[in-house]
Order: sequence, then C-alpha cells, then structure tokens
Amino acid sequence: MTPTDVEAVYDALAAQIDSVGRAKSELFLIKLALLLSHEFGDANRVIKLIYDAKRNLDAANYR
Amino acid sequence: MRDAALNLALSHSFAGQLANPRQMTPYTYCDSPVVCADDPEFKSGPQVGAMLPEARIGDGYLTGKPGAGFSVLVFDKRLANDLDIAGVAVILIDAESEVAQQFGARQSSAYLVRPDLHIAARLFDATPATIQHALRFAAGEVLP
Repeated sequence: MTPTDVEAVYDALAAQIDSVGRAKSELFLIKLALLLSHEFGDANRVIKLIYDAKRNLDAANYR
Repeated sequence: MRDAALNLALSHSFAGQLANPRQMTPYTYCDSPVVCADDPEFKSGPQVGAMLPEARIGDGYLTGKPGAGFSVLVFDKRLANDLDIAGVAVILIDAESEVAQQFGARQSSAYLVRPDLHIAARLFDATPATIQHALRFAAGEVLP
C-alpha cells in the first residue's frame, strides 16, 4: 500500500467514524476489524496486530 | 463484541458463528445420563444434547431469549399457556415460521433447553405432562 493509499483509507475511516457518532463507533470499528480479519485470512498475524494496536494506549502525549 | 458480531451477521454469515456465546464447535452431549433418548419422530432439527442453534426471533435472537434456568420452546400458543412451571421460561415460536422448520417442529412439538443452552429433550408431540417429566429427568429427579 502506498502512502496515498493509506491516506485514502485514513480519510474514509475518519469520515465514517464521525458519521456513525460516538455511541456507535465502537460497534462500527469491531465490525470493521472482523471484516478486515476475515478478508486478511491469517489469524496469527491478525492477533499479533491486535496486540500491536493495544500498545501505548496510555501514553500521555499521543496527540 | 457480541452485538457487533450479531450485527455483522445480518450481512455476512461468517460472523454468525462468532455470536454464539459458547465455543465455536459445540460439543453434543448425546451420551450424558441426564440427556433423554432423542425422539425419533423428528426428521430434522438439532438433536438432543446439541447446542441450541441461533435464529432470528422477531427483532431479537433465539439464544438471547432463555432465562437463567431451563427453557421450553413451544410452537403452539395453547401449549404455551398451559405450561406453568416455576423458574422455566416458555418461548413461543410460530409453527409456520422458518425457525420452526429449522427445528423440524410441528405445532405440538417442544424443545427443552438446559441453562447452558444445550437441548435436554425434544418431544415431537408434547403435552404439559411429558414436558414436565422431561424437565424432572433432565434435573436428575426421575428415571426416563
């Protein structure tokens, strides 16, 4: 994926998170994660990425 | 998580199995001493000892209906009304529905569901008395 591709994905994701609203964003993101995992087809790598995403969630200066 | 899986299952069937609250490939307890012999009159549907399958009921899901104790699935309003067993949830399913077909049930049929959502007994032609007996057997109180 090129940086332009990543940016397109980022924009589409940002727009839809805003559009579903805070109350439904978790539901939406879990559905998306399950859909992506199913397409991706490699459970071990998905599980590694789940742990990767969990890192640094409490970092103070993430913004 | 389960809500997300159920919601996704509306459009993608692979997510349906995730919504099952139990393990993905449930064990079928067909030889347990508290599992009745299966009623051979059933030509289809989940056999005794199997996990209660997921199905859409109205705007909810079948596995979301049972209470904390045993439940009885019935397909006849009158039978549902005649059942009054303390602590047992009665779930009425339309005998003409797809779910009834999925259970191989006719109007007089009944499924007794254990608290862990495995099927304890099923009766092709049930009466309040035979349901009560199946319940007492499943609870270890009587012999078949």
